[in-house]
Amino acid sequence: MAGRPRMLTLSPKEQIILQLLVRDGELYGLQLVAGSRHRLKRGTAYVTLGRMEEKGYIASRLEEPPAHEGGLPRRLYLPTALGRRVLAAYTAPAPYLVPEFNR
Amino acid sequence: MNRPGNSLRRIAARAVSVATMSRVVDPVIADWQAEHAEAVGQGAAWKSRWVWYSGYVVLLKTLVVYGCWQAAAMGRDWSVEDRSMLGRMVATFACVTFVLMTLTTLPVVAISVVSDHQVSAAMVALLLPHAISIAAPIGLLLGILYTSRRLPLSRRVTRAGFAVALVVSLGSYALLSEMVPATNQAFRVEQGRLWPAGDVLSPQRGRAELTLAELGQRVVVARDRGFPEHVVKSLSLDYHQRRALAFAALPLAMFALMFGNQRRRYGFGIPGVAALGVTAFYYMLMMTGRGLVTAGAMPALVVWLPHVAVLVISAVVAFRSRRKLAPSSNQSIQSQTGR
Repeated sequence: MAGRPRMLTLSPKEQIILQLLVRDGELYGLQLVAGSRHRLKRGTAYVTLGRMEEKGYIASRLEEPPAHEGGLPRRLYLPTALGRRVLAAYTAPAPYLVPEFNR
Repeated sequence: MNRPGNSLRRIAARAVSVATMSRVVDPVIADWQAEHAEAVGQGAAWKSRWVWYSGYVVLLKTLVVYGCWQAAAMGRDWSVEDRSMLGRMVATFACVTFVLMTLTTLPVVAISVVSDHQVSAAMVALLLPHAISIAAPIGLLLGILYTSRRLPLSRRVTRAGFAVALVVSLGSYALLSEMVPATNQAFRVEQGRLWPAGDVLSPQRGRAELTLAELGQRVVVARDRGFPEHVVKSLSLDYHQRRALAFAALPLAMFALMFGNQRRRYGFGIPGVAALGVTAFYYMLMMTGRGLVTAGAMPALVVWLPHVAVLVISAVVAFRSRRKLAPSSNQSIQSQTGR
């Protein structure tokens, strides 16, 4: 039996992440936090990224292990085609609904 | 170079799934390590120290946020009845805990009414950590018993009840091992400031004002220096008893969950009587520990006796209710053949 159709939702934080990734390409979690100008917090950004990956909005890959010994390889995030479409769907009507959006 | 987060990563790997490690925990630690390596490479000592310590807060916050999100996601699959039952359980638990905490602090407030001794708001507030550790297990016991008064608990609510008991136990452990000793000592200092000299407890820290680690050290020192056996045993009993009391919520909640899953429903008085009975039984057994230790029993074992006893009672209650639920072979044959 087919399951309940999934609603594609996009929270404000997910929207910020997708906008940054679409604009700048591949980014680390830390770069996303820095680029968001305090709109993303480090304590919540990684959970949001994990959730977005589960939803299929973003994909990630592990960077080559660092030159320094013992360090973990960092994870780079990039938007998927679905993520770009969802972002477009959510932001396209925004200028009509919220005049301040384009300022 | 020493990297931050390696030991925390090992601990987290035991507690969370592989997917969570790879999606949430490892990216946090990898970025943290890279930021720290960069600060060290720049020779910025203060920045590297700041990154080192703030990283722990970030990782902890990430894990808490992730846990809350997982719990919320799980809650979405629950039925309305389950959610309402869990809500009632938590609300009753919170109310009873609040009332018991207030009752626990009343004797100190009463002192200011019946005598000339001044009692400040700070003194009452300093009693609260100890009051929570006593009130929360009893609050949870009553919360579960009153929630299951009309309907037996579903499997999901039973699991959630056990999870709440686990959280209460871990919280009590943190309170009793670190916070309560500190607030006990602060209470004495505040008392010394407000009360006449003759009525004040000694400002020197007693056993109740030592952290769990300090108390454990005292036991080792007393043993090594050849103190009389009764002194070593008494110290050891205090140490183990504090650890055991922190986990009081687990056997009490287990009893309530088994009692609540019985087929027979009960009125308003039964949960109160059952809670009073099992709590009195638990604390009386805990108090008899000192006598057993004097008689030669090991403190590390004696303190867990009340837990084992309450768990055995819970198992008996669960066994009896399961036996009542299972139809006899004759009954099941009759129901199958329609006779």
